[in-house]
Amino acid sequence: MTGEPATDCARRPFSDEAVIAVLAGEIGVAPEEIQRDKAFGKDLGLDSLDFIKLVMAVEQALETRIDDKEAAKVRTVEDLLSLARRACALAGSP
Amino acid sequence: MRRLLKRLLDRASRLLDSKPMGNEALIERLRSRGVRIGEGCVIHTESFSTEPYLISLGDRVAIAGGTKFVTHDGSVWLMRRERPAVQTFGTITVGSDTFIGENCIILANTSIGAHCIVGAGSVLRGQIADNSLVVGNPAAVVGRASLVVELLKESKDTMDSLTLGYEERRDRLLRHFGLPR
Repeated sequence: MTGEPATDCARRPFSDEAVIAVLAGEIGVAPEEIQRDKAFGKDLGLDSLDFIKLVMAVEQALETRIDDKEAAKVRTVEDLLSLARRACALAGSP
Repeated sequence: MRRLLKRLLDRASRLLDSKPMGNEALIERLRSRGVRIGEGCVIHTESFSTEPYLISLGDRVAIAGGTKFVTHDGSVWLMRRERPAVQTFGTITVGSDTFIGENCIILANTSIGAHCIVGAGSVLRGQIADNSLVVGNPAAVVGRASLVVELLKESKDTMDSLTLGYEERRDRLLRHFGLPR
């Protein structure tokens, strides 16, 4: 068992759809039902453990590492997309 | 009269024995039983198995109430007819700065890394890497403990209240959660 994911986002190009697909899978809805302005806690009913599992699933799907401090500030779907995009850009930069 | 006095003394002795023990006294007692315990630990359980000398805790480990350590495996019962004296054992180690929640069971042959969080009610066996968040039965790593810490820092329900007295903390919590006094 390990708590450390790989950090190699460069092998998989980032797409919003990939993150939304992970989120849809985690909360059990169709991807097209996910709205970017929705808050994870208030609107989607995720508690902190659900959110942690979601971040891990996104990291695994994108093969990247999301910064813990930044992740803790995420409130909405758009926040997560933006953070995942930045994480991939950082991982892909030389 | 002498018999009555003896009964009273026995009863007083039992009451004293059942009194909850302070953290330092408990740690000293566990060390005297053979548990290896680092500095700055907070322990709310006395259930350190029948082989406590097989258990090692790092520094600043916190263990909540109801948690049990089990350093043997009773499954050998199924071998007893052919080997009447058979037993099997395993060590348990817990890394520094790890928190183990309420009512966990830590089984033999388990090594929990440093900076880990073990969720309440988890049943653990095996190797847990540093900085893991572990939950469930059977326990699984579901995330990083460092992410939990950052989420706790952001939570409006996290406050510096440990040094407050009972009443001051109660008043603050009732106010915080909008509950009547």
